[in-house]
Amino acid sequence: MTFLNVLRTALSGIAANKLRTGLTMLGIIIGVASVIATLALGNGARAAVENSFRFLGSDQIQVSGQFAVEDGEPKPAGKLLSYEDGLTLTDAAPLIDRVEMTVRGSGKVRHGQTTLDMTFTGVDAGALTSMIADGKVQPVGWPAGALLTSEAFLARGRFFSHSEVAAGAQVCVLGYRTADDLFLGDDPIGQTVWINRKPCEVIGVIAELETVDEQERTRAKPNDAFYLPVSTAVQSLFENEPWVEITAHVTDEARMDEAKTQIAAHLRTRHGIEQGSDGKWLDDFRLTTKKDILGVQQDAARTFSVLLTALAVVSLVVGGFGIMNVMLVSVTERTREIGVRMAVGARQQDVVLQFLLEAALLSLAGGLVGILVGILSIPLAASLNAGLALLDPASIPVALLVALATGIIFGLYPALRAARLDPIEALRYE
Amino acid sequence: MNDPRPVIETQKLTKTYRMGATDVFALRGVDMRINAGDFVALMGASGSGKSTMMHLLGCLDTPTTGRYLLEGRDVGSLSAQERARLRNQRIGFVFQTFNLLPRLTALDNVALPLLYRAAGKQGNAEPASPRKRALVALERVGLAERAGHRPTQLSGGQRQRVAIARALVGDPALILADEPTGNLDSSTGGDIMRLLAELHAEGRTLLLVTHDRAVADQAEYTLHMRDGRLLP
Ligand SMILES: Nc1ncnc2c1ncn2[C@@H]1O[C@H](COP(=O)(O)OP(=O)(O)OP(=O)(O)O)[C@@H](O)[C@H]1O
Ligand SMILES: [Mg+2]
Repeated sequence: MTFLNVLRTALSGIAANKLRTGLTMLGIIIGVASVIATLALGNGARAAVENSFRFLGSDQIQVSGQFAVEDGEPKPAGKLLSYEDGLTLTDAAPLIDRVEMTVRGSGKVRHGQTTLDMTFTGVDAGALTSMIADGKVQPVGWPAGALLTSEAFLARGRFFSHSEVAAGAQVCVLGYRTADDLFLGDDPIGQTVWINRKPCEVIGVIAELETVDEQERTRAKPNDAFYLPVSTAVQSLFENEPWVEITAHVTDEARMDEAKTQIAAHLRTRHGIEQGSDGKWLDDFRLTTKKDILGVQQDAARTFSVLLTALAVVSLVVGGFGIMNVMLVSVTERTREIGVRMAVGARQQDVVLQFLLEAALLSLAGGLVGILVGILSIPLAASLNAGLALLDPASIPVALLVALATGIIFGLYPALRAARLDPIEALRYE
Repeated sequence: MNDPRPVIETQKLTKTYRMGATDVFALRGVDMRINAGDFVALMGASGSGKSTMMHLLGCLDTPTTGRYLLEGRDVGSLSAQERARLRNQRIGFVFQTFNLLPRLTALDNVALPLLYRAAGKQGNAEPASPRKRALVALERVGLAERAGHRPTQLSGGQRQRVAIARALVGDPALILADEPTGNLDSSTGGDIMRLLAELHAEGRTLLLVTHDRAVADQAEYTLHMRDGRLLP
């Protein structure tokens, strides 16, 4: 029997009992919808992390200081993470081949008669590339989806070179509005500005930027910016030693944990950290990877997912037994038909196939409706999980497969029962 | 015709049904031989074992003991799958109660046996599609214009002719009919018998069970059964 004929036969069998089949599909529908929602939760958590920590590559470790809040002010928990800590890291930790450091401070910036109070940022030569990779800002009016280049991010001049960062050169790059405020339309390149009474030469101006997210555009001020080499900032702009943020690049993504151990060992030595009475290190720093953040987010989604998975399993089993019941009734009602088919030459496997396909079509139909219900229920799942739920496209084939498997597993017994009928008995059945 | 080829040959065929503690001996050793091209009537009192015999000959049931050779092949040694193949290709069975599928049209009912044939296995021997061949068979029984009707939209005689078309469509070696006119009035039954006689004239082998002497008289010869045995 050709597949098309089997399909036709199975379909007409289903069509004969629309109401009953509709009701028994309910279990499959709920089950499949739960599968979709569960996978959407995991996917939502992952997407949230991807989005807010895009700048943290999967081969990177973020090193940050630990702070305790005292009298409403953050106080470092131990020693500050220093520029020296970062500089010595590549030599001390073999798995780290490069570090990027950032330091932030506030100061007075002056040119001619104009003085501005602002936050300055000490960065590495790669900071512009990182900003592009971060993907949160773009040049104003940049067409959606077009590839960003460092040229497009610079209105004038250039960004810091590696040698300028290494040497602590007295140079700076200005944000678009900062340049405008200080120079009132004059060309700032090659001019000297004063920051906390130290001179530095303007070598570049960043293009006028806007946030990619349109809702953030009223709040964010990406064009008020003052960049210096991190070395220059650390050496000459602070009265006290500043704390830095370090991003360490690991040579081998598969050995992130090892790399973390190496960084920890280095910082514990430098900071003189001891073990507590319980054997735990009393660290004053924190090491974070993308995987760590993902883990925390997913833990939150997990409890809810477990509940949904349980619901999925229970409804699929209930739906499966519903299908089994429908099929058993169908086999009984069509005993004579089975006898006739056998009399004209249907083999046992032909009969099995016919009823198995019928069960599969039933469950597949339930699966399709379930996918629809599942997609529609994602906003509900999101509202119960801090807004984190996003349809995972891969969950659709998974859900269909689950539905199909349910139909086939629970349809097997009725199909085998049909095939084992004795032709004569079946023909005599009233 | 010297020494014609037997289509059916049975040796000491018995069938015993177990009913609780007692055994019902439906067949008590039947030796039957029917040659190709024969048109044979089988008569006997109710309960004498005619239907049981037909079911065994139609490979719908298996004997308790004895041998059954269909076209020289020992059916007892065949698997269920091979017996299904024989039912499909070598035997056309006509029932007293027609046994058409109510949800299928006359045409689809007739085409049903062809759907259970492995497509393309016969090579170039199977040129026409199942529906085309079914239509030819319906034409043969004079019901081509009723091809799209369901069984409930047909008269008893028409239903039986559809059933005969279904038995014919696979070009079987043997047509078995168990009281094909039993559910029909005598004039409709007469039509059916004329159709069967025509099929015989075309060279087909037919075995037909009947209680009606007038029906049996249309066959070439009549076999009689009594109490599970064939009378000499
Ligand atoms: N499935 C069965 N279980 C038990 N006994 C059976 C079964 N089928 C037939 N018999 C018995 O076998 C004997 C022969 O039955 P069978 O149906 O072959 O008779 P028949 O000659 O066809 O009768 P009729 O002319 O009434 O159709 C009967 O005694 C019947 O009761
Ligand atoms: Mg009978």
